[in-house]
Amino acid sequence: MKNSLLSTILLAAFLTASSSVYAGMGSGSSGASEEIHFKPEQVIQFAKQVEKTLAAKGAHVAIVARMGRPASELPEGMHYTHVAFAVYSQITTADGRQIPGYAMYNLYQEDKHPDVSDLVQDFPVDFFAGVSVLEAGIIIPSPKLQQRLLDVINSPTYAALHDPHYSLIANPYTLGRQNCTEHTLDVIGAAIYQTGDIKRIKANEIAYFKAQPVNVNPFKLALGSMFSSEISTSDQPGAPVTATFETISSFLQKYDKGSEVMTITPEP
Amino acid sequence: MKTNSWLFFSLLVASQAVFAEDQTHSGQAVTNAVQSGSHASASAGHSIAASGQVTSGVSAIPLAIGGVVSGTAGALSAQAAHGSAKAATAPIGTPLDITDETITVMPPDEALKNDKPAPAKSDKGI
Repeated sequence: MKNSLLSTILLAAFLTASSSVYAGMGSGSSGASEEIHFKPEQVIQFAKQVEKTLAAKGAHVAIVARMGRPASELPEGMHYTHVAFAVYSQITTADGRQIPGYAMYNLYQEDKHPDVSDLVQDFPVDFFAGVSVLEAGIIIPSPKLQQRLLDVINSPTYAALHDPHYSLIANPYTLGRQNCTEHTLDVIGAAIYQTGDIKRIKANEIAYFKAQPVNVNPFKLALGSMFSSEISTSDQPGAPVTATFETISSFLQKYDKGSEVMTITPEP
Repeated sequence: MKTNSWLFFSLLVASQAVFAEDQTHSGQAVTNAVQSGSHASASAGHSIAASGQVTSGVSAIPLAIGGVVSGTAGALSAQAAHGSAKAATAPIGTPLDITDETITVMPPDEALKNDKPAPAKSDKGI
């Protein structure tokens, strides 16, 4: 009886601790419904600084990452929580004017169904609205890759590469679950190889892309997938791996000569 | 009795591993609650929109290199700013003009006030 009670208490404690293990990683690909941590003018100023940096570099397409959580709260090898394409665009305002600026092409989780994602367009200030740290990771691809990325983004392939079955730690080498970094990587693969054939894209990712191991206790991972719908291991045949801004950055720096990587923090 | 002891031991070992990892870098995530995305009144987007320092954007179409705006008949919009028309034809890497205004997605209440049909949004890939 005593052993039974103690076992139950330990199991409950274990499950409770494990259920919150991914809390820090949660809401990684969420829209601007996140809570704001900075004054609006700080976010506005930073977002415009990022835009102006991209514009000064003549970037028609860039890959931009944000920190939804402090780096100290994330597993090893992960610094940013969400990635999107920034595309130089003609923007139509509510009062009918057309002005140049950047639009953000995101894969966001649905607020009420975090295991489902949508492709959502917003703008830099919306993108950075709920960040925990005002810091942006930027990859500016080579001119040739930028042109090919634009071709993909402007084609049905961009949406066709989207799988709405979301997992925070989606495996970029397999199908069935996807997160923002995997979709970004797939779009990059479609651009590089000028194809919409997902099998060919995945084959090349397996051959040339080095994913980030998810360094979390397997037991915690299994329990996390039980308690959080946004975490799934259904697409992880072995030790779990996922794509990150850092691994995409390494991939492009290796294979896309002329690409540039930088970090932007608020100007003093 | 033996089965109960084994179960107790297994859970004890597992639990200790969990709590130990709670102190590590990767385990610090344990202590933070997930922030719900449904607190509209305190949402980041609401705060930004309410600041009065932003302009609502209805749509955005990529300015393709070469002067052709995707989704149009093949010519830049006559209303496009001179700067954006010039920049769009320049090679990639040439500095681009952008607005000094901060554009944000249109809040629902503002969209409801707008009776004019919104310009077609490029839905290619979105």
